[in-house]
Amino acid sequence: MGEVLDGLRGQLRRLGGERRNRLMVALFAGATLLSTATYSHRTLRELPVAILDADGTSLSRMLSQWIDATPELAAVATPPASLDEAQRALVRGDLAAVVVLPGGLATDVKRGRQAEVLVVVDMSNVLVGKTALRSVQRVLATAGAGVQRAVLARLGTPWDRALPRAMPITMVESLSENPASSFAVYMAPPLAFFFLHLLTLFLAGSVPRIGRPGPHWREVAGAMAAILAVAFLLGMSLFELLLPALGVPPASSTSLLAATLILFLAVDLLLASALAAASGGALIGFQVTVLLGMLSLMISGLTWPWEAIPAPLRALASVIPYTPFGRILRLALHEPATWGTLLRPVGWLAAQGAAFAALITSATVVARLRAPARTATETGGVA
Amino acid sequence: MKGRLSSLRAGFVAERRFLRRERSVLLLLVVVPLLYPIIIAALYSSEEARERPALVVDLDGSALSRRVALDLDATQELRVAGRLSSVDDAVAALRRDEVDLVVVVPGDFSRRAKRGEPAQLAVWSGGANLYTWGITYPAVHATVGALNRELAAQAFRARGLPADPAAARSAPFALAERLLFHPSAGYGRFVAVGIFLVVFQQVLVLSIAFSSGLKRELGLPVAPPPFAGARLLGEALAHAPFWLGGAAFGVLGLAPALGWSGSGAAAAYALFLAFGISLLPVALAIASLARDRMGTFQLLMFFSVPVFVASGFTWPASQLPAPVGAVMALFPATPALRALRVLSMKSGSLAAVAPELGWLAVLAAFNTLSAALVIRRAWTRLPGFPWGLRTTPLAWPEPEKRNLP
Repeated sequence: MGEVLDGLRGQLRRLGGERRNRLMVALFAGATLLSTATYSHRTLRELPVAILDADGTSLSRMLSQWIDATPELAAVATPPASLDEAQRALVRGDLAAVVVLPGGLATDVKRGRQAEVLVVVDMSNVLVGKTALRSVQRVLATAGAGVQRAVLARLGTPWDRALPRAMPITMVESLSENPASSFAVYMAPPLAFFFLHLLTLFLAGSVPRIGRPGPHWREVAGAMAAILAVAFLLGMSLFELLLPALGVPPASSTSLLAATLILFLAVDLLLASALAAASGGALIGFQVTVLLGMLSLMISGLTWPWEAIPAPLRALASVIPYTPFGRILRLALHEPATWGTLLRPVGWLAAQGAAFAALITSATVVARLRAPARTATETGGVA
Repeated sequence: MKGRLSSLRAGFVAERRFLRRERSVLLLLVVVPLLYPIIIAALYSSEEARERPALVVDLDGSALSRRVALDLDATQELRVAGRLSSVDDAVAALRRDEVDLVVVVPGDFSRRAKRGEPAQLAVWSGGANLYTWGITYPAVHATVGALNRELAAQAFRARGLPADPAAARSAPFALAERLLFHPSAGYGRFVAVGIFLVVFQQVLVLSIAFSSGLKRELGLPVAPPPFAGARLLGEALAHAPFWLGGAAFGVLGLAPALGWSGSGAAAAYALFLAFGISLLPVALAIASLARDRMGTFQLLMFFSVPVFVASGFTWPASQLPAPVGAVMALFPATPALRALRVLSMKSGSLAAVAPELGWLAVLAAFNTLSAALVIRRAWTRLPGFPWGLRTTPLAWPEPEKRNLP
């Protein structure tokens, strides 16, 4: 027990006293703030769009106003004079889209002909392009429903029945975890805990004699406990301070989040220890840890769907603790979760922890078995 | 000048010899630029997630509700993974993350549509993954839009309009969509080349810092005076073929093979060179401070994700909060990534990214001046080491002291 406490105290001293460790924590904070603050506007707003109105009727003016009134789009005050100029503005990125309302638009609508509206979208940025396109589609669908309603009413359908006849099926959308379609909800939690995951793995790398065979395991365990404590405090500050500030307050109980966070960090430390033990404490173990750590966000299934990830990468992601913790984040952050809800990812993390512990034990046993043999070889087999 | 040149040459020759002997540096220079782009290419090779799982809860059991389910399943984006009769079961599956979407068809759906009353479809999703939501929701929207047009045309025909005018009346506006620069809107092409640039950045900065860290562990001098900067530059030049080869593998090899570079592959490669020149002084300054190999990983790996996320490459620059934009303006990756978006998608001409190239040039000048100061200061502070940075003994066995140059 004394050795464990020595290890804990020593590591806490190193964490607070060494410039490098303090720098790592500062970089963690900076990277987390910078990356999550990127999405603090939450949704794409006021994307610049040019409306070329060649019709000049009240209908075309109404469409222009409706497009400008959407939260996602803002009509530029001086639209390009020609399509060529508009194209140049799109290449420069000055415009997200150009909407062309052709001459004869109102006439076509009045005469019952389909009126074609042209929308040219800069799809080089998929987020921008899809948002602009969706907004224009919504405006035209609304305007179209109004026209249909008026025509049906003229044909004798009662006014209050005309709209359901024109648009019989309506959609009610419910986004339980992200009602405002906020990018902060989508990106901020995965990013923040990704950096915590990196910090934990990197701090584990600085524990003296990690993965080295010998009677130091209690000290190493104490040092790991110190890292766990620091990472836990940082993680809880993400849950309690950063995420609420970004409009993502955790919906589950603090005790549940704290327990799952401790489990995640402990398994992360076991992963770092297992890789260090497997490499006999050599740098390659840490390098592999870094490699896995850096890949963990991309292959976790949090940003790119799990089923779309190729099987070998999914297998790799399965052994990284960040992957099941990402599932926990998804389940526990946005709706109140219970242990029953989290059974699968928690079980997954526990299985990883058991596997890493087994790997550490095996590596230690192998190292001990090899040690006498090596000693014998080095002494020329005299024994 | 002559002294600087001979320092540069000495650095180059010594580092080449060092690389031949020190496999760990060589491993970093070769494996990372090859492995990461291959993983990225494998990850995003499908370009877009398709056939996302959805559940239909059909409480109506009518021909119209079955039609809705069939039409949803017929889209590229959705796969109806099951038709349930219980909303609770479907919501539980949604909460377990087993499906992306639940479409609930209420019991009076068909009756209401026939009576001319609004018939509501409830579309439920978690929404925490906006990427999959952005794929599945438009698919439902398009399906419902097509059904609405069909039903509206029936209503017009019922009011005495012939078939063709009824069809035209059912959709007064036709939207002609022109998706410029990236018509498929695939995700792979959207992000992959940017990640290649970040990998290039990390290899460039890490390799030279890692090499310097190893030298310090071996007790060898790093960038000794009088021409410390020239010596370090010479050492960096020995790494340059690996950096350039790695960039060529990603930009001229993988990206065109997967259709991700458009017509601008050569220009994009030239941009990588310009970015490398702008970043090199930063790499040299960091190398002059590197204490050991592990520290380079521990500190530098924190930079890769923020420079990608906050650069304006994926999240538009116009939507960045001002303080984030101001901080990011100091990173050479920011103008480089923005220029890369133009070159890989919009125009293969470097003239189109002249402002970003100018920005890179300003950063290169600023970084060179700063690096000169840092390198000089680092040497003068030795052996106490940079800014008093002191660490515990290394966690792995000390490398053998060898007869190194």
